[in-house]
Amino acid sequence: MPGLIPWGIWAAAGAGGSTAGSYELISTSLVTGSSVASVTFSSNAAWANYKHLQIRCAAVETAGGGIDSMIMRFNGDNAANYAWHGLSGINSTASSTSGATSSTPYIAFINGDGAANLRFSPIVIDILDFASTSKTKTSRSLSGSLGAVDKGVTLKSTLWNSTAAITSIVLSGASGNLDVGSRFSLYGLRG
Amino acid sequence: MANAMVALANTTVGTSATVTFGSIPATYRDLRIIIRVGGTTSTGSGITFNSDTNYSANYSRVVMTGNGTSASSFTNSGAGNPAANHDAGALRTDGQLIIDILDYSATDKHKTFLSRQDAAGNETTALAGRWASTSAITSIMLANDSGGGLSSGTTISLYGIVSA
Repeated sequence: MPGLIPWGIWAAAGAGGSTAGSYELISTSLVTGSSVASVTFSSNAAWANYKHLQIRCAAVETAGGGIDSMIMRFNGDNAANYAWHGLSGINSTASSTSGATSSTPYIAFINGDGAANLRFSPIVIDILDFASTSKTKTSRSLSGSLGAVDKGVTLKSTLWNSTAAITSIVLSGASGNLDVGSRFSLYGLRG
Repeated sequence: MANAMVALANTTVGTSATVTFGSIPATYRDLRIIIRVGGTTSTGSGITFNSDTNYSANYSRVVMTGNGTSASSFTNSGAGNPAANHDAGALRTDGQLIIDILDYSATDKHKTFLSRQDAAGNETTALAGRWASTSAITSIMLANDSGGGLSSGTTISLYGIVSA
């Protein structure tokens, strides 16, 4: 019978975190002071160590409330070179949405209630084979928005129709700024 | 560079029992829980943070499910269905559950989590949940959604994910 498992037992089991592994933190961006239009991760020498990337966020938007979308663009490309699909549950309705030859690749739900409401959206994004120069770039995510009125969860996938290696990632809200307290962490997975 | 995902605990339920991870330090940014269901009884999974059992007031969730025929969505929050508000996903035979808890130690935000639940013979589900508290999570109790024990043979792994 497992019962209570205290922290000391975990530590004794060797949960150190000091050894190199296959899943590593690259950087974290925390919105402080005032809201921002976007958060950017730019490549550095460390990115060469990895095959895939993961972004983990607890984020909220300043927009006027409700469920909004987060947009993820690569390498400064703002043109209609993206496609995306979503499978979503919003309150009591399940639906699927998509965009082709889109300049606004929606990668996740983000709550637009503002930081003061404390309802930061949980978001996890995977970007596969980001450095390949022979494949277009695909991403997928799971995210939720647990606002004061509407609640939603969504699985999304996006395509960036380019074989260029990804060297920068820009995350932004579709309707508002990323509010204070929002946190974005980028991880690399070794191949 | 250090491994960013650290195995913190593993346990296998012997005789049906609840499982509590206690005294969780604020060392990590996120937590991940992986559950492989044992036994043949299907129930919901009750997740309780810091012993807060005021499920009607402090827990809410939205659930999207596909069962092979249709997709559906529903929410639980408020006093309408308190027993289900803290359900992190169904525990079914041949089922699996992966729960990500974001910013679990932050004191400037409520605690939100994502869950992916699959049971090959029944359904696949995505869930987002919220615990309306700014307290850092220091304990997590896992039970069925009636507060009873998890099935014998259920394995549970807890991981911490670091962030600067």
